[in-house]
Amino acid sequence: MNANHLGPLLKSQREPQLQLSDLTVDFDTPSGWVRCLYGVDMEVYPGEILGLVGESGSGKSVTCMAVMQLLGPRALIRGSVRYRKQDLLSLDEKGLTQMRGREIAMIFQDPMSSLNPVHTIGRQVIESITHNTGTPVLNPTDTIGDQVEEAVVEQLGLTGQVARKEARRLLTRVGIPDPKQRLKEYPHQMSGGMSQRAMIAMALAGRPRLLIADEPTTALDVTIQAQILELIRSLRKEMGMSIILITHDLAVVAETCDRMAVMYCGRIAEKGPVKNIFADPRHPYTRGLLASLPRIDRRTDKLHPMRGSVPAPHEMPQGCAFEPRCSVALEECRLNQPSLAIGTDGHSIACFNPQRGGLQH
Amino acid sequence: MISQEGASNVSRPRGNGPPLLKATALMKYYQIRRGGWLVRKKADLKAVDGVSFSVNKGETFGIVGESGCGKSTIARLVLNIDTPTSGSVMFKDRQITGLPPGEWRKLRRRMQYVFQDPLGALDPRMKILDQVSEPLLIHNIGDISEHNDKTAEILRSMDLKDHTFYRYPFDLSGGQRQRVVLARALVLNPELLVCDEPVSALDVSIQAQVINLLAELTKRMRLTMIFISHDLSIVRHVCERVAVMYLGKIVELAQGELLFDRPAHPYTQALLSAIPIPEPGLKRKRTFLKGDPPSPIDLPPGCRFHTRCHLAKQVCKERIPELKPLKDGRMVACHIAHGEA
Repeated sequence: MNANHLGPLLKSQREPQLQLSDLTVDFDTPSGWVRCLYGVDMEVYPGEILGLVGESGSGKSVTCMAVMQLLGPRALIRGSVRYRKQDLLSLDEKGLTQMRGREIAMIFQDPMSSLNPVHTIGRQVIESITHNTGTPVLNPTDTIGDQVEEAVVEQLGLTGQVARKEARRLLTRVGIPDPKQRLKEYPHQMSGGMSQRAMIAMALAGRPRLLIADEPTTALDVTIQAQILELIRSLRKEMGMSIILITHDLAVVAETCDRMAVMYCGRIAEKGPVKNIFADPRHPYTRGLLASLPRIDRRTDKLHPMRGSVPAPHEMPQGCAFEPRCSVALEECRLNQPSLAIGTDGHSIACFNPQRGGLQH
Repeated sequence: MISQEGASNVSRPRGNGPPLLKATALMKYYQIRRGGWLVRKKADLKAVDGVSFSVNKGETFGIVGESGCGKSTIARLVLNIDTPTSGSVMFKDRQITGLPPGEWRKLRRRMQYVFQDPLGALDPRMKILDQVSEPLLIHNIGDISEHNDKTAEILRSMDLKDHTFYRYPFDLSGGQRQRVVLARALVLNPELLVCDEPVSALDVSIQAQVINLLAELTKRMRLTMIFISHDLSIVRHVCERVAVMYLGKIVELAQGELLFDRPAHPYTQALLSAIPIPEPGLKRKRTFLKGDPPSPIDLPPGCRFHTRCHLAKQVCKERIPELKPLKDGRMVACHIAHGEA
């Protein structure tokens, strides 16, 4: 299931496709500046699925929104986001439009609210195709006379006919049966799983090299989740895309991803190959997450929850953000912020007192 | 349609005397309008279609299934928030469907409900202490000072600190809010607690806190609980007996261990194999279900699951399978599992 065909060592020798260094995000709120990301270092290698895990408010979505620069004018983004030797943070609006969709595409948690309810699926998929293949947005429902259409072919390269054909191909690829009929339907006529497939089809329209999937299966039932994750895995294999999979579900990461990064309160607590982290979790937070999970394949007598809850962004402790909940905290943890130390095999931990050995499970 | 003999068969593994709660052939059809806006057609949405089960005293009974399978409707029918189209619910040998409102008011003390979204269940303009003591006021139990003592005691037993008592819901975290909701349900010392997705809105680390708390409380207060969830890993951890629902019907009802280790119904098998396991590189056999569940308005003939079942035979398309016991005591509604195909 876990297609780790490249191996972690080989990967570390390759150039990362996306590299975030010291990425910091502050938001301008009515009660002052609030910091959401505190210097995130993260990289995505070509062809891999990176799992970005954390609880709500840990900054996993903000990280990806910062990459796409979808945070709006109230966010101050600092640090660097390098995508294939290009600094995304210095791009102007035109450059961003070129990048979004064609280089990096994104899908979101709730497919129903990401699709426009007043337009057909066809119109939305075709819009995505024409936009991402360099054709100005045509109204695909416009009936264009043959002559006009020919002129359009010459000038723009893609006609309504071709775009419609491409739309059918994409829907078929993501496993939507009867695409011809589906293109005429509206989002409310589709189930949650079908809508998410349509969203994926739209994301694939620009043939992106990197796909960011923000909790793509959280709103879906578990049998549909299995279908969508299988689709994502097969797309990676077929198109050689790299994927960032944002999720709160460690089991999904275990089954889908090659590498993972665990975030807590706007920082990366632990990152590395999925196999290594599950076999030898070092950060007390990662260990806490794993110990608090019930499993479907075995009986657990008692769950081991972490105490307390995530601090609010304006109430961050001075030292390590996890210190108030940590059962192995040292004096140093209260005073200073641990930095992310890069270990062997790319397994990095930000902790003064990393743990070893099996979990209580 | 449903073998009731069998239902009591499985549901009496321990204790003597009648079950605390018994539902028999429960049905809930919602009438909906469909079609064009000129000519309206009426149709039935079969949310719950002939469901029988019983819950023993002190037991935690799980109801699982995907969205739209009718699990929340069952909770609403049991607690008389909705009236069933037909069928009956017995609470301690007393028929409670169709009771007059006054009688229900007395009964509600003994049956409480916990919803998924704690913020929606709490009054945003009421202090925590007042919210939790309100049920005592409504049911006229003791005087004000007793109320406050009892409320404070139950809040403390939920690991809530005294300084939170005079706060408002928005001051609290999600986990704290859900504990307040639990406190409010338990302040009346109910006999039956119905929890509808009680931890789905919470983060993983907080989920474990609330689950442990629930487990401890049910033990200490000898609570009977109906636990409704789509998260089967949690249900496995919490529940002793589990009913699996698909499109308004129970397809399998068994002891937790039996159901999770050796599922008999192809839907249960597929459901379990779709759940990811937090162990990378684990090899397991998986059955992927094709497509989406059919609409509860246009139900397929025969077994409702046959459109997605990889084992389906001709008989599955024609005859509705009955929920009846297998040799090992569990109940299954499947022609294949019973060797009828």
